[in-house]
Amino acid sequence: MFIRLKINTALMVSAVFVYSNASFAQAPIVDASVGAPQVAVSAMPVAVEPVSGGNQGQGELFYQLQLLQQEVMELRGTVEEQAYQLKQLKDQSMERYIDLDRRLGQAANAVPSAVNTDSGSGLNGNAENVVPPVIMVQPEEKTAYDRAYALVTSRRFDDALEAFKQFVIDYPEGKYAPNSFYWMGELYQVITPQDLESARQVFTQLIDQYPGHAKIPDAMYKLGKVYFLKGNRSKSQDLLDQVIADYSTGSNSSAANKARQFINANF
Amino acid sequence: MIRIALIVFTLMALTSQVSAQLIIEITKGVDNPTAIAIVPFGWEGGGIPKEDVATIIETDLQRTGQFSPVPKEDMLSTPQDKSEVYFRDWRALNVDYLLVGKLVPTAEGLQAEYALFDVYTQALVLEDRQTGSAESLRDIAHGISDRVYQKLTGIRGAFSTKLLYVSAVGRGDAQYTYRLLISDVDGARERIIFESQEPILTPSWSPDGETIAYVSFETTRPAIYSHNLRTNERSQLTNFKGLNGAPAWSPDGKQLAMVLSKDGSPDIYIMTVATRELKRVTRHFAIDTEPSWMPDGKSLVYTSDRGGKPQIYQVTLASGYEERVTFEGSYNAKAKVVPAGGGIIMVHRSMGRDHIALLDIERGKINILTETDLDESPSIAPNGAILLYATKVRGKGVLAAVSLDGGTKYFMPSRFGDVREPAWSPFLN
Repeated sequence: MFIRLKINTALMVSAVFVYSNASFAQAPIVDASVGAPQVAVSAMPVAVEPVSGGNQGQGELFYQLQLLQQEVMELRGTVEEQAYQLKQLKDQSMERYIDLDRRLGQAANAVPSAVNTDSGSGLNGNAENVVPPVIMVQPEEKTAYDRAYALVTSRRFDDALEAFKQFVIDYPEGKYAPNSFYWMGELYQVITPQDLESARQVFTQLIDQYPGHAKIPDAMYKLGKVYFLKGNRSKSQDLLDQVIADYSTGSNSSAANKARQFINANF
Repeated sequence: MIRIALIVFTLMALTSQVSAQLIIEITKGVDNPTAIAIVPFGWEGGGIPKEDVATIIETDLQRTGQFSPVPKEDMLSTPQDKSEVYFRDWRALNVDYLLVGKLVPTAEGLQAEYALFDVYTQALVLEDRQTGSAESLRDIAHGISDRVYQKLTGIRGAFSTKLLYVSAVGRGDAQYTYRLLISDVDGARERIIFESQEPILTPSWSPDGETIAYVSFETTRPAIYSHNLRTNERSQLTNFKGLNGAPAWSPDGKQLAMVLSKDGSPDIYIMTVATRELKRVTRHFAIDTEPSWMPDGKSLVYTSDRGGKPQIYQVTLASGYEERVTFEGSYNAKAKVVPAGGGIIMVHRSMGRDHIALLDIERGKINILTETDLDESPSIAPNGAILLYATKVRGKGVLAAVSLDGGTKYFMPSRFGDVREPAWSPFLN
């Protein structure tokens, strides 16, 4: 009778341990530093031991349960964090898509209007006679820009940032849109906490989206500085070198001068 | 066309100049506070007033960091009535606002008559009276501070509210006497609500400010008590095996969220106070603790280590849906919902240090408000402008305050030993 019971217990315990071994043997796959076979071997003798008493088996079982709980909690944490990162990535790619879509839409609209200007002028299509479309400043646009800018001068930086964000949504083609991007880049650096990544993004957007604009040399210089602050020295130097190479002559050489000073001081 | 181009050009030149300045100034920090002159109040009662009303208002406004009161010695005149104000006296001191007033005895007690002026436009911004009993000069002063603050900032003043906190005073042999204390927001009129030789924890205010709940170990085991501040009536709400902790009143004042471990691991429960009926909210083998109600009363935020390390989660009560809300930092705990909405304050560990931080739930943005280590137990003012927390200064537990924009910080000294577990009352009037 007693022997039967003992065998029963032993069977149960070993059954549990076969089960736990299976889960135990799997765990090291995650951890490359521990060889899976090694663990399986070292776990084996442990499985034999509890035959001597039920109490110890229960203790071992409880210990295994705790290990499993700990493991599940850590896995849960990882899943939660990855789900969050995934959501962020999705949101970002959606934003990029919308931005791209908007820009494609702009490009598609811009082509017919250029053709119209051409034929409307009644000239022979000579490229030099194509007058670039004049962007008229709407009064609302000026007011909105002034309002945002007033927030900067009153040093309400968080509000100013929101105002400029709204401005570039409302007037993406506006005369002051490049300036607004430039301001956003500056503001991201002075808000708390500083947001260098967003600053980098808006300066990049400004440079990509408004080639030839008067703010570009300054934006490139600032972007170079942002890269420097982010610790990317090579990218920073590339940009600053480019500013010096492209804008050292002409009326707009102040950015090049600043870039030169910055390189002398920091590289 | 040329004109527009010119305007734009000058504008750009201007903006780039300002931008260079801007970065330098920001690293230095703070905006100029508004200069305000609070003239000593006139007194038409007999003898000498027991409290200096003008000084109380002055320190109230100064603590916010948004105002810098003019020293009394610099004042060129001391008008006590609006008819006695000569604006050139105040313009000479570069004062933005001027508050004058006097205290007049009435049949019921006292009446303060006061007027607030904008010195530059010479406009009367605010003219009002504040009445009270002869013994309530501090209440009258805080009441005036509330009105002036609201008029000048647009934010409701919280100077007439109260603070709860726990002090521990050593009595030898590593034994302490614990006291649950209440005081004005400036630390004045401190009084003992409850005293015990065993720890007192997590005091929490009912939304009407009349009743508080806290954990006391007076029976050597933790139990939750409710305590009516007006009647001084006290009753034990829970006496379960294991943990009974972290009571938090629902916004309607009818329910109390709490942590109990009677069914195994610590989980969040909600007690309907009138019937003592319990409802289990979370069910997890990990530790769920420190519940705080969202302003609409429909969900709770709480700390759980179900993801391997303590983080803030939110549970919707109707559906039981649980969702993690903090992802930055290896440790986020002790969440308190900002009563006006928009975020939670919490203890946030970054780079191995514990700070008080504000989390914008919608945007997931964390804003660290304090730089010192070992900051804990944040509690927010009902107007959402400032929060209190417990910290250590030279090994001694003290309370400190920081504004939610991070710009203003100050310490709250106390007469009794180590102070911790602050709880800021709701609006009481």
